[in-house]
Amino acid sequence: MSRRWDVIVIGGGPAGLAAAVAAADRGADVCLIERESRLGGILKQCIHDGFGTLRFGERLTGPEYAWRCETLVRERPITVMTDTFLNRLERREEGFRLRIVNRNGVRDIEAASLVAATGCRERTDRQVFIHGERPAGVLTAGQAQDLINMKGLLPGRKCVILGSGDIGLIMARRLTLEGAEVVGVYEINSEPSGLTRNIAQCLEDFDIPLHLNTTVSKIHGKKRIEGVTVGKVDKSGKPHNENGEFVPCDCLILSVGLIPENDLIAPLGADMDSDTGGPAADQNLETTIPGLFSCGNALQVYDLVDYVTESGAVAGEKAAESALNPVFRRAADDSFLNLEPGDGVAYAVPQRIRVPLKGDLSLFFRCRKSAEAAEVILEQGEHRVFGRKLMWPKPSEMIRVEIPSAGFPVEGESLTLRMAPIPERVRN
Amino acid sequence: MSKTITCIVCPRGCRLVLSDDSGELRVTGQQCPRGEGYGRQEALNPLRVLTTTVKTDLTDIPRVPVRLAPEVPLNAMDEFMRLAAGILLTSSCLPGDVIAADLGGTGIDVIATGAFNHG
Repeated sequence: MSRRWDVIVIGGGPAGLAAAVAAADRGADVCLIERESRLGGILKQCIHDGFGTLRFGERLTGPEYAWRCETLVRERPITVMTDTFLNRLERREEGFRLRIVNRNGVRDIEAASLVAATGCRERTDRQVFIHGERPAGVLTAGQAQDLINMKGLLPGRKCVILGSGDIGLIMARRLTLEGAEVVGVYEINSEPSGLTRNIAQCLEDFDIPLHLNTTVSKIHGKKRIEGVTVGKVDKSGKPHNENGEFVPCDCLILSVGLIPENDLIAPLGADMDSDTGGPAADQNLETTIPGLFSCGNALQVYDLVDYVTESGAVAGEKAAESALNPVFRRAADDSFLNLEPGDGVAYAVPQRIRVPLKGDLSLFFRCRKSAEAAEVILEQGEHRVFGRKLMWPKPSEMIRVEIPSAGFPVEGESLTLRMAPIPERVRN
Repeated sequence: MSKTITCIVCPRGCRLVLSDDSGELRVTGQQCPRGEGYGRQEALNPLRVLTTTVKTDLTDIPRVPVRLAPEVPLNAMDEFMRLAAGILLTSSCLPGDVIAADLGGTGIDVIATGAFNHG
């Protein structure tokens, strides 16, 4: 007989830790599986501060934030399995069966509900179409962060950073403080993709130049990287071949985006959202497979860990309710309204809304363009459900709005979320 | 004279305008009171939280993350990095433990942000 839990959480990063705590607090028997030796996920190597201003009202470093979350898990009767790999995942009549491998060998365990908190992966040079030789010295920002912060090794002395994602900006500062020269940060888009405050405190503080509309088109060097060709891009994002400039460096660091990691759950047949890279979920963060929940960066790439924790708590609580209370289990006749991204909206989560609403609805989305002010509008056909004015929306910063349950549609066609510009003269 | 800066107190990143046109420093553009304090300090002497790692004497956990407290002047970060590089951690600690007090007589403490089990 395989051991059965009410809820199994896959992944011991901030989302998984929050999910395990929330599920246990709902009275569920919980098991947490983590492939590394220590809990905390990527926070362990994010030694900079700025985490937790929403969740804890303090500016914590990544390890401190992880420590607080881990402590909440350790205080509860949660089974924690570290150094444990999940090899196979199957959907059963009453839940899920998982084949795990750890130092005790191979065995099967079962759960009524499953929370997939598997995080995300970094995009690599191949995924941004940099081809050619594969010299040493080309690495992702997360790899550089691991080398410096966990292992105490400097990956290069003269570094070029491609992409202005937050981890790349953080590493620009970290490399500079550790004595390396950061030649510049090159961003293919016309706007930086990291948080504004990271542009200020990581680049401006250290006079590191940021080159917009510019990318790396070639890597030079055979054994070790010797330099890169950088150049302006045209409107379609393609580099102009004639105006490339050679920039010598011994290290190229890529901060070119994160991809939700769902290789484990996609084969189960969960509907996926090609815009987020995560599964389509409802407001309980339940996927289209009953009993399978998704949270954190596996669901959508967040820019704040506070929101990751919040999503973990929602998924964990609902996973516990689903396991413990058969009434909660989704019935075949439950209704859903799909939520589609409209004009000016890149994506929105949840992708489908279970109706009628039992409480207010938290919507997370990203806009496509920066503006001084804009209105976000939720509508069903011609009927306006919700609208709110937003100051300084920008694509790099995820936006959250709360939609009241009162007056929310209970049936009908799909909902659309769109952004509408606010003309300057009505602003004041 | 006026100057626009980005507030780094929280992820919102308000655009603050520092101006001394009226003879005294004014901070505008903040969406919360913390922005005012940040703007004033920026005009006077920018301070930053400095986080780094310190060496340990174990090969499997070679580094432990730390923060310097209180904040250090932005223009002295290099000096504090040099001072922190001289620390060797040889015993267990928990987040919040003071690893080195009054670093180089500066009044700044080095505080562990990660747990370190020396065994």
